[in-house]
Amino acid sequence: MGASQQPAEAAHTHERLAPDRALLGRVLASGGEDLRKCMQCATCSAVCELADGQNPGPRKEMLWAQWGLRDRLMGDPDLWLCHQCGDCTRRCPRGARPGDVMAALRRECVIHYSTPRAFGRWANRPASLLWMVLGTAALIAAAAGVWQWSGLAAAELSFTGARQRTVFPFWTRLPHGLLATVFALLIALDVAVLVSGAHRFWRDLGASHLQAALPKPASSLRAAFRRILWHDDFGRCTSSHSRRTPHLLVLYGMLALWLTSLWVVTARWNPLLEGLVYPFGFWNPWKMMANLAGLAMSAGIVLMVAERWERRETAGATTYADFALLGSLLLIVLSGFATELLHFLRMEPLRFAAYAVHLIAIGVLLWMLPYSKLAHVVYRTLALIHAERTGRGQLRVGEGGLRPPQPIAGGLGDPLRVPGEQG
Amino acid sequence: MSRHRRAIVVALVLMAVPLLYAVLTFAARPASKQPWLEPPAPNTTCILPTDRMRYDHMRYLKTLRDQVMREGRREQVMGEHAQGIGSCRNCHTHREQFCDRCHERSSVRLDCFGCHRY
Repeated sequence: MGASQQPAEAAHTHERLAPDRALLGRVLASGGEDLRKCMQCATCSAVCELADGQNPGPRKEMLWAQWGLRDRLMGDPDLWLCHQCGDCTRRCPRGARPGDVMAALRRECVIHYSTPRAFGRWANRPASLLWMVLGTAALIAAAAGVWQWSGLAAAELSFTGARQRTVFPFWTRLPHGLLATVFALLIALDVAVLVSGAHRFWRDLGASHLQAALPKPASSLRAAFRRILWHDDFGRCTSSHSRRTPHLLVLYGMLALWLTSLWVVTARWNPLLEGLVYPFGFWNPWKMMANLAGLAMSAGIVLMVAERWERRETAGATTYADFALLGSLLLIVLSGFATELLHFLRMEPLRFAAYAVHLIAIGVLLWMLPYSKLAHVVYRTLALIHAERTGRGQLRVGEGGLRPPQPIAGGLGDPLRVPGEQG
Repeated sequence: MSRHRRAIVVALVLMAVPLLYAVLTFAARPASKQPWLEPPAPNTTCILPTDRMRYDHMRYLKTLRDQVMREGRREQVMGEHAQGIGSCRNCHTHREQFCDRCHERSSVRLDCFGCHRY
């Protein structure tokens, strides 16, 4: 430990602990029920490929969770650097399942930083699903009523032309302008909740792990972006490195589908486009990309479910949060494909039903997005940037083997120095 | 480069294809919407200003048709100062280089000239 970190350590020894007993109960109740078996042997820290040399986890998170140290846990970047590979769970001699505890803590972290925290907690309960489905259906129905009453639907119909009416009979009730408005409002809500959570999370990260900024901010952003782009950290897990492929399929599939949606919604103001853009023909490049992306996403989700089904030991406990995200994403993709197929077959009542399921599933996903596992897009990204900026994870088994820490100021030498490697 | 990284690069390149396609089709579009038209014969005046003629020529021809077919009045299409469809070519000499250019561009199919000589 370098001399520069002495004051920070001294400050910690005088810290007055404020345990949150409810936190322990929540972790125990949401997948981390074996937490109390932990005896602090640190096997998990030893086997974790992503463990930081200075702040090894998940042992410390196990201890903090047992003690209910909410403040330390919520501002802990290691929570979000973990990819839940299951190495620690597999090797734990007591069966305390540290991977599941980390997952439960991440769920708690998402709720902790969500803006109406009570809503976040409610959205993670199974009972909320029914209300979200009903609420979304009511919202779309109400918007359709408003659109008819105000003449917005008629205005859009006359703008886009009569051909639409024969191609999409539901177009008269649910014009694209309505759907874009409703979903854009929901997305704006999501962004507001996530930005406010990200703001407080970043503040807490800085407070709990203040270290000298090693690289310049721009380069830490670049490094974090590269880690997300390539997903190399997934490949480091030894128990289930196969998780990298499904996650890549879902991530890039979703990205392509978002791009397509953005293209369609903004087509009216796009200077590159002229006239009617939608519906796309089957051989339109956007349509082909969206179809491929949908296939990639469904393949990725099916692989994820299969992983949970087949390797229950290391895949982690499947809680409502996992089920809700995987289920809603799969439902969105499958109902999208069903709508497309039934549309090409012109099967009249069925395609409306498939389309309704599709729209409501999207609405439900948008309602729960900032409170669901999908919020990791924000929190993990921030944790990665923080890790790159503070030099966290320098002592890590990676491409270059063990990298030695800075020599101790007194000149004791370095016990971890690998022979032949330059310090 | 690992197998995963190769796949990611391929996916990103594929994702750029639709945008590239849109840009290329936009770039390949003809620069001007108005085709080149043969200028009218020198020192002549049209019966209406160019803008009116551009939008209303068919309405004008229909008026003439109604006069001739329903009312039996032929004074505007006959004689020295005729202003019927046959007299357009006094100034616009070649149909292929005047009428047809706009009609083809906007996919207008006419069967006037099957009967009326131009």
